[in-house]
Amino acid sequence: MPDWSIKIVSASSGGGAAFQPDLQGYSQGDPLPAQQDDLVSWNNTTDDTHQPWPTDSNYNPLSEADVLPRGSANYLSDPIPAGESSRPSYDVAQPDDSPQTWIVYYFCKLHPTIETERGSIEATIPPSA
Amino acid sequence: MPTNESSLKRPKNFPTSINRRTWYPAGRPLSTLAILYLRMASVFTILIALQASRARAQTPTPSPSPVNPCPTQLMPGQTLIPVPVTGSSEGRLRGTIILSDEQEWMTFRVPASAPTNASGAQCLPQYVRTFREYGARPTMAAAPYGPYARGTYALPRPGPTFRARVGDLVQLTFINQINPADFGDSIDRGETGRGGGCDESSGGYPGSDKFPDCFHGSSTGNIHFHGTHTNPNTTADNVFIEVRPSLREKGKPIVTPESVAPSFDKFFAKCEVELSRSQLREWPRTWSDLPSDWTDLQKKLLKDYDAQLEKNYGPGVRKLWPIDEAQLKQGAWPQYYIGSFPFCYRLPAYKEMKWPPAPPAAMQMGGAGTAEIQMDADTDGRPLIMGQSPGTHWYHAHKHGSTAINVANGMTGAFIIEGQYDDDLNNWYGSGWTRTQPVLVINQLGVSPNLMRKPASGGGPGPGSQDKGPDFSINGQLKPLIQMQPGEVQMWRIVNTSGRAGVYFLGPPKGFQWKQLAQDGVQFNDVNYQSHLNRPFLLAAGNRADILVKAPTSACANPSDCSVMVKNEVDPQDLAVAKPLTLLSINIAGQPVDPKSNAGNFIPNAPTFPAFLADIKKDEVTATKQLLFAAGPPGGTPNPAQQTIDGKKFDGEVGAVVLLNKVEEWKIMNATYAAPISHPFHIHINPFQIVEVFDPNQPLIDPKTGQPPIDPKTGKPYIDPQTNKVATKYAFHDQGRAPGQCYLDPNNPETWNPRGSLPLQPCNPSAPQSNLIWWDVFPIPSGYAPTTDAAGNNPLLNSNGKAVQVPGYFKMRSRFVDYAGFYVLHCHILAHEDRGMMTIVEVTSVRTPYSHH
Repeated sequence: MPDWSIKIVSASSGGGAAFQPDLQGYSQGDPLPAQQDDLVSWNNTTDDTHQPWPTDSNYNPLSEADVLPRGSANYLSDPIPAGESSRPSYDVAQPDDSPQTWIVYYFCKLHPTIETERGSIEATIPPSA
Repeated sequence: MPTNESSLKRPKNFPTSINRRTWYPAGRPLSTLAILYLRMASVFTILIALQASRARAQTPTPSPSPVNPCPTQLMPGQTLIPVPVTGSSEGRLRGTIILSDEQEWMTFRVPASAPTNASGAQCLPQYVRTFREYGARPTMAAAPYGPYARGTYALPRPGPTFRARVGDLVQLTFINQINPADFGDSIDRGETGRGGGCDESSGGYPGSDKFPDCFHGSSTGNIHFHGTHTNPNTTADNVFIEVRPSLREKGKPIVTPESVAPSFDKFFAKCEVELSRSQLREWPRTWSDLPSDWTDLQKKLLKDYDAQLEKNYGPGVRKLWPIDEAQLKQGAWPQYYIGSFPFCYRLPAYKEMKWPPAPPAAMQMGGAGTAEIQMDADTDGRPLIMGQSPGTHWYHAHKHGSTAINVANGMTGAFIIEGQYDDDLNNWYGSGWTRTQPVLVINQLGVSPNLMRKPASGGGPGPGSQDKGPDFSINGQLKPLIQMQPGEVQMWRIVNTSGRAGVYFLGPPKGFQWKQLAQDGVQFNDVNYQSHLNRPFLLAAGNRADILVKAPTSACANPSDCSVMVKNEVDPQDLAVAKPLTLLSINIAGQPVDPKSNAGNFIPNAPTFPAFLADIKKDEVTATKQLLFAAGPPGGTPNPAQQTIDGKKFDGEVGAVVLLNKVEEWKIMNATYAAPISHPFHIHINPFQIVEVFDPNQPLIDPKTGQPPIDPKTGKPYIDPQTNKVATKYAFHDQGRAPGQCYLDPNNPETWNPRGSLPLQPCNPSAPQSNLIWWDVFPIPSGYAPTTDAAGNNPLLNSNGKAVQVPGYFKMRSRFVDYAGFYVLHCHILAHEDRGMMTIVEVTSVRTPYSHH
């Protein structure tokens, strides 16, 4: 199933970075459309290190207990050095109550106060027919 | 590390699900634009429905997904688009292959369960790595609606078709301009000294896989010229080289065709002079044979790469230049490169009318060689023994750890090597005819393998996987349409470049006929050509076939009559449950072909059979070997079945040593029992002939009916009293066997062969011992672990109380001739190869400094 890339770019306003789905016609901050168990990676094109980290819908970070250890279902990526891409790949996990569609909100854990460094993945279960 | 649904924790404040899909920023009111969008979507839906209805008229199974629709060009029933050709001229195949990446429309089966002819497809834009001829531009297309309709993306297409002639020189500039940042884990993490070196996903990969036998490093490239009989070393069919992507400045690759052209032009000119000295000449032999400006630049780039690694990851990184430097000091060809590599080698032409060849005139006469080709001291006056077979060969990425991903991305292409074979066909069908015929590059196009994704809660492939792999595409298209005139004969060159599945062709469509001309790029002799009319055939991953196809004289009454149907299989046992699938459809239209003309008839006799393809006789064999392929019990992520040869995963050690110009007979065994897999065995450089096949799972067939024999007591197929299942060809009891069953002694593995236990019941195997077909990929029959209950839970035990496990096998003979060096053999299910089912063959020319005379 599909693999997706989200670029980390210099924000068009302010001094921070922004998340932009690497798809034509998509802008900074747009949600990435994806499906359950798609693999997502982040491509850091900026000069700073960033780390996507899951949040609630108000961009409050999930606790480390909810995210760690590394590789857990909610773990998005290690810190991504400038010019590199993320690791491990994030497998879009369906929440426990098995919704048909859901949103994974995240921000940069290293720059939590920069509002442009927020993003989301709009997920669905794969089509069955 | 959580790996299944039950271990997933949903935090209390995990985002709530949404009830509708929005393809514009959440919260935006339903604007005029959105209303327009919805109206357009409705129009597009109607257009798609109309398109689908048109497609249905041509092929029975168009199934566009309403969720993420495909561009029109990827809908079933579109006319097959030929792949651009890079052809040779004046004895040279010259070209520049750019390994790069782009976003392409990739198709994903809907639903993702095992394919059926009713399966649909969704199309999603995906980053993939591609082989492209320098300057080639992809065809762009857009989806009619949906979240990915905002842009246009490239249509998938194989690499260019190479077309050369036996005797030609191959001179290819290879440039790697992949941007690793587009692919998450695709850089070679093994060099960073961190994370174990394997690709990782939160779905659980790599689990128990360990570097280097895991998916990794898929931005590194090289090329294997599959089916070539040539030098496996230096700049020829050398799959040990690893070309890392070009370093970048301001986002642009610094290694370009222009930047290496001055060096490579010098190199190719010198290479041509050197290789013209004899058919067997190998050059370059050392790195110092390459232009020093390029090797100096490589040294600098490798050091820059190492410095960048150290800067990013600190001390402890695995630097590449010191490895190359050590290899150079040992007199070896260095392994690592940055951004570019020049391929230069010859496709040797066997020119003798007889086989074996006479010693060269130069040897006989002690003179300077023939007028045509000068003798070469490097080859000791050895004559060329085999020569390159003219036929349908191919090329593909072959970097250990990323072969599966790269090939699934589409890093494959056909390599047509012409010769007398083509001349004879063109003499019958018309000048240049073979160059106008369809070349079908089959692939299972996809991105990351199933193993990288989370398994289902009960084990096995999860919802992110495509069971049996992606659907078969041809030249990047799903279920394309081939145009034929009524009564026309076409030649289809078919290459199964899939990294996983075999394509089992069920036979010609109703009213059609086909006749196989060649297998794996090696033409049939006339006996085999005459006997291969309208037969079903299997193309395992890596196999090729040339077939002549004759259309009926009138259009098909039903669309399904004009469809070539296949099954997806990795083992013959799959065929019982696999659903027939439409591979392609044929549209019969236009001027009928005169049935009395050559164009409307199969060529009466096979093209001239080269002398060097004479059968390998038993008395030629000078040594034997055994190899055991095995897959451990199926596990799935995070502990997938382990793939081994002789109990080992690939570690760079030599697994078989052969003397140059000797003939060996190998028994290739398969000890894979649960989840039967007939691993497709492939060996580079030399083709082989099969002299014995033992499939312990072989069904019992009544030769009169072609069906299982019927037990008159029940009116149903015989049930084996020991296994309580339908009787198979081989039984492990000497009483009460069904007619035709062969007895194998469960306590005596010596009887586990097609002849069975001779004193009790000879099985009379009928394997031909002459007119043998040449292969370079052959599936090893899977093993058989008989059980004594219909559910398969209780293993059959031998007299020592151990479970009986009977490996399948085949025996092959090969002439390890003309070229010494290191090359590989492996399973052509490429995820198995990447994960360890590969070993090195060393062919060595043994000469001692001593003499007793």
